Amino acid sequence: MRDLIPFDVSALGLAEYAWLFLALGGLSLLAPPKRPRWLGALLVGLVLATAGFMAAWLGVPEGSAEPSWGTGILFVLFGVAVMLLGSLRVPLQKTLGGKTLAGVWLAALVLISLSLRPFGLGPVDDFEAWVYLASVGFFLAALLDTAGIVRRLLNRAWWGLVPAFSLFVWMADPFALGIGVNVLFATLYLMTLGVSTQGPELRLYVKRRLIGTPIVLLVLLTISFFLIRAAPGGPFDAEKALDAATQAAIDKKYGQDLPLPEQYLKFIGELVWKGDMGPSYKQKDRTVNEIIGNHIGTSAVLGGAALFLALLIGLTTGLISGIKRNSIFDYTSMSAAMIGLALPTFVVGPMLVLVFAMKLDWVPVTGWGSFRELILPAITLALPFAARVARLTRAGMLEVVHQDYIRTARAKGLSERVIVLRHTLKGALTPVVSFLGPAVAQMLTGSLVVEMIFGVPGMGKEFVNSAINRDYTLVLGLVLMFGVLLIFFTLLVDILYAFLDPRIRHA
Amino acid sequence: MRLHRFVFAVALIAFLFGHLPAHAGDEAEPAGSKGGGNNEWKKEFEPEDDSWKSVKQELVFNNGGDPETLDPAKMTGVPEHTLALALYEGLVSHDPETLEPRPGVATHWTMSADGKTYTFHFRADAKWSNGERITAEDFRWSYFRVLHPATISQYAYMLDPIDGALAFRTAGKTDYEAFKKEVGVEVVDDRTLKIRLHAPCAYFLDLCAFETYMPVHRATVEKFGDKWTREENFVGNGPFVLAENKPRLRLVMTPNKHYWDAGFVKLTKISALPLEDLDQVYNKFVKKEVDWIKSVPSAKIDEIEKLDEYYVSPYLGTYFYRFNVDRPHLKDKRVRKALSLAVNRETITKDVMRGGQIPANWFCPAVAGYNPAQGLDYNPDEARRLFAEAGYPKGEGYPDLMLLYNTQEDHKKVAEAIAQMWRENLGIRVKLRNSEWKVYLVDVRAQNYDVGRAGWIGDYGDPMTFMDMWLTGGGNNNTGWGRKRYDELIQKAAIEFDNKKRYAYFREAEAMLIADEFPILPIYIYVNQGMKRDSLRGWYENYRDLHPFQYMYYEPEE
Repeated sequence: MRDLIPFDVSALGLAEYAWLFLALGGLSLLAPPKRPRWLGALLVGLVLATAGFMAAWLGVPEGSAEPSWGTGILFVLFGVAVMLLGSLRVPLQKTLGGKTLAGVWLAALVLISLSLRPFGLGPVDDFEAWVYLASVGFFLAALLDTAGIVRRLLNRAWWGLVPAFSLFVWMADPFALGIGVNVLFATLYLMTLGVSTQGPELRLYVKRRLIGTPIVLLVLLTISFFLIRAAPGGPFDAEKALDAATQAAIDKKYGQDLPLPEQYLKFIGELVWKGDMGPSYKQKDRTVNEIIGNHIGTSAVLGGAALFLALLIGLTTGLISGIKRNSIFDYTSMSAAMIGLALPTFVVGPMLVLVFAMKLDWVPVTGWGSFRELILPAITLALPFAARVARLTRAGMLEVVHQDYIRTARAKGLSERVIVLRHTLKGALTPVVSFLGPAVAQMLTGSLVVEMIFGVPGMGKEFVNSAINRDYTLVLGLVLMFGVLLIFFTLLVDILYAFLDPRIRHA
Repeated sequence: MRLHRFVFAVALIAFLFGHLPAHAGDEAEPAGSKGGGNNEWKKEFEPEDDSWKSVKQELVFNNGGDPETLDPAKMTGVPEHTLALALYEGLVSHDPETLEPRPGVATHWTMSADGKTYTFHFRADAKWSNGERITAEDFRWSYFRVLHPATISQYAYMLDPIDGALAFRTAGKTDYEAFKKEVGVEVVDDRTLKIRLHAPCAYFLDLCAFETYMPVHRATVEKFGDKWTREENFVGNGPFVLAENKPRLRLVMTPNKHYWDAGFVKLTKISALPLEDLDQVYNKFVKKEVDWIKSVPSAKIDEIEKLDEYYVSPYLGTYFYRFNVDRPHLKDKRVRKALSLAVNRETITKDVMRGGQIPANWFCPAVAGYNPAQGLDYNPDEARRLFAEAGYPKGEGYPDLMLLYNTQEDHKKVAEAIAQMWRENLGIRVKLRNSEWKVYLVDVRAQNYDVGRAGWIGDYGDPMTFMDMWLTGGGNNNTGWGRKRYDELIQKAAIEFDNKKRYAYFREAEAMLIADEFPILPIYIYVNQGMKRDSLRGWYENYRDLHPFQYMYYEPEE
């Protein structure tokens, strides 16, 4: 029989954290040089160091029996490294040139990874080494991009990297499960290829984008197809070994006896001509189309409700904070937003359950299907987004308030109410809207944590389980679905920009 | 540890008294049901009075996960197994308390003197949920379907005791006519099925109650293909039928009005939930939103243990470590013995797992009256001595030992505790390595480990489901270990019908594993752990966590 599903957040090892920090540091090198932000870099470094230290403290890293100060200090060092990198970025980029610098960093990264190997910290086996190399390939692709498109886009991809990172951590053993991560990275990378900053000829631009979409999706599916099959283990592997006869029967039924390229062509063919993603390997009575169909509605309802809540709370508080800046309200709501950002859903969710289901009896503990059952999961999912929206709105307000056109409006004698609602808010919404594109795609496709806590049958769990189970067809179906949503919403955002910002419309 | 083990063994022997039907040499005597077609044996499971009729008979329970399939031929996991008992019925069914074979579709059966042929006599009123009669042909076709390569039955090997089944399956044959000729399943008439085995199989009746042996309705399967298990198409023959299946939300079953003993069934509705967040599952139990949960959050065990509704009982599964004997530093059996002696299992179960698991220095749980062989208890001094004898005094010169486990909190805790014991008792360095489940499986199969965590759950109620694992080169062996003598013993046990002799073979074989050669390090016996509302009756603890729903009902709460 099946063993329990392996799932353990705290099992991230030292090497994984270290590598992650270094990789993120390397990524930051690709950002275009701006004015140095010493303070920001310092803060980021400190946060990373603290997080690393806490992780070392809470979850014992591989290879040591108990948390030690040594590992803690190591994490602090990593944090400092990232910090230094951030602050040295601009001067270094100016002297060496951005690409050379990133190249040097990459080489160092590979060297460090490999030299840690004897100590059990680097890639442990060939598969992990392979994952490292794949990641390096990703960076190289960015480097070779002479037109600078990738570099510019990486900046925008940052919002996508955040959810990618969360999933990363959730997937317990990230580098062994590098496949899922690489699929995600590939998604993001390719998604951002399709996205460009808003141009003057919006209509032409949208047209071009729509033409490019199928190509982007095809590339995305191709990469995912081969990556997921390269992962060790197959969908039918379990504690009990399969005998040769059963394995042969499986290979035949799922066309795995064909050469890989042929399987690929068959898969694309079925998809294009019939829109059929094939049967799921793990959920034996269902097809991929059915699984997505079953769960996407649920996720859309939950995501929609959460989005509504997030906008309601976030815009209101952000707006008031922006108008009454440095007031008590501003300080309290912004602190609350900071907490909302910092508190993970797996803490907020059970807390809400404890209060509203266990103590007050207002709602059932878990369930799905009625409005009452929608409330807690929607709030849990909405809170971090609401916090983000509030902060972005406030920042947008502060920026716009000093613009000439607001001063003009004021000089014309318009009432404060009209100035805020007609002029300031519209300008202030630009950063919110750019955040919303990927955020909506993410919200609509579900959250594993919220689904687990509240027993919601949404998409989030399918994303994670399909990768864990090596459910090849389902992984591809989900990648395709997420890709389509992401393209759609980023496009939508770009169009919205034009409405919000007259400069884009008239340029 | 001794006491634990003793209690466990006695309990199981008591459970399984008379588990096996007959002995070789008995003259084709009716086995199993003594009363033939009547339901005498079921009487003891009737409620004492009619007070239950005043209570709502609707069960909501947490099944611990979503079933991967409702097709009995394709089932592999525990959640599916639980549902199969409601939706289908084999030739034989399980006694809810003792698990001994009870009449199912067959009212009675006979076994030939050589123990190789079973004849099952069907009840006249056995029907599918669409009202059609169940015939012997239905069973023959269902077994053919299990062996058919296109079905992809991962448990098809459960049919291997049937004469010709293994050959038919491995040849990948797809012809029903060939099946009729080559495989020992014979339709005598509509209500008589004869099954011929290639050798006597002491646990064959037990297999007949397993889901792989459950029948499917041919016309439905052929009409709807993979979609036949949808609620709108579903046809089964169990006490309940599928009424609603909302994946990852709930699965609802209602009584099958065509079931042959529909009058006995008391629950009017069963809802199975697939929740996996154990804290929330427990919260739901506390709020009375569910009445039976099959696992509890281990972090709250101290609080839960004190509640009346909590139950814990031994399970047919063993948690153990494999030693890769092909590794130079594990080749010496003194080293493996020392590693075994240096592990304090009671610390693991009492301080690490804390869920009532049974510390075990033996490998096979005491199943079907089997009394496991005696392994070695914790003895660090002897361990040190042996380690020194093997050439590593105080662990000097011993290379790092790599301990592989699949990523999960409990496995990690156990691994850390054992690594610590080895470090302290033997002075060696242990490196822990965790892998995601599928990667771990690949590594174990490639023997890419020194010491590897493992768990084994028995498929049927006989030691064989544990012992045949260590045959030389066996598909699940993965240790590189193998001994001719061991293989001989298992092969002898396979064709022996006298349980005394069989169990002696098993014991001798098991002693090789745990007292002499040490290719493995048993750690503990799994337990069933859960909570059940007191008013839910007709539910019995047993070592396989099998709970037929037809016996369950609610009593009025006091």
